[in-house]
Amino acid sequence: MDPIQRAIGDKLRMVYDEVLHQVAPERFALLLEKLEAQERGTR
Amino acid sequence: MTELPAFATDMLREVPRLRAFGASLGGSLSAADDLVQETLVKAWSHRTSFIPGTNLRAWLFTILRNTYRSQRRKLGREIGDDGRFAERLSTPAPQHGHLEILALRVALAKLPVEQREAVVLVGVLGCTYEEAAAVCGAVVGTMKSRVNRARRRLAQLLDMANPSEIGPQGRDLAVLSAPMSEKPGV
Repeated sequence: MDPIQRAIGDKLRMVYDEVLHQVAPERFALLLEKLEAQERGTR
Repeated sequence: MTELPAFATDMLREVPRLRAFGASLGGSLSAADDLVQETLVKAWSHRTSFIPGTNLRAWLFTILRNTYRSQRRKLGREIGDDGRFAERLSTPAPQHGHLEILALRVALAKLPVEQREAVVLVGVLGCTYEEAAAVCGAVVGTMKSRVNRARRRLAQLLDMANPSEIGPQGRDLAVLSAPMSEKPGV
């Protein structure tokens, strides 16, 4: 990969760093808990 | 909070990457979160079709992408504002060169979605070309071509014809790639 492409790759990763290093919002854990509980309830 | 089954915990671990991929497809981070939510619901209800030991991340990316495309077809248009997410990320990068990153965010928003997803999957989310091709339902050669076109287009949009124009790191690379006689102190 040439230096320009490598530089673009480095900067691209920095653009998404913020999202990638955030803890997953709690809504997703709650959602999965709810789905699991629903399934337990129907068994 | 109750303890989640292993499959749910594994999916939860992929959420940051799913959010980044969702955001790259277009729309705000809140639109990406809605996409991730739908992805998790579908993945949970179809989890028996996931083969343990295979690539969960790629499987989830595929569901998210299909969900996005299905929504887009239903709406008959691009969802959200088509890639403006990258342009709108508000936290400035703490490193020097943050202006270049801001410019890259604007440039990313100008790429066709197929090129943006390709370059994000391979360049940001660490997919191999084979994995990215499987996620996007394309052949490997097409994926390589999309990634290359995206990088070239970004270089054009950022006016990066000369590595010396891309900040301190670029200057270092320019020195490294120069003929020996042009290196400082030689």
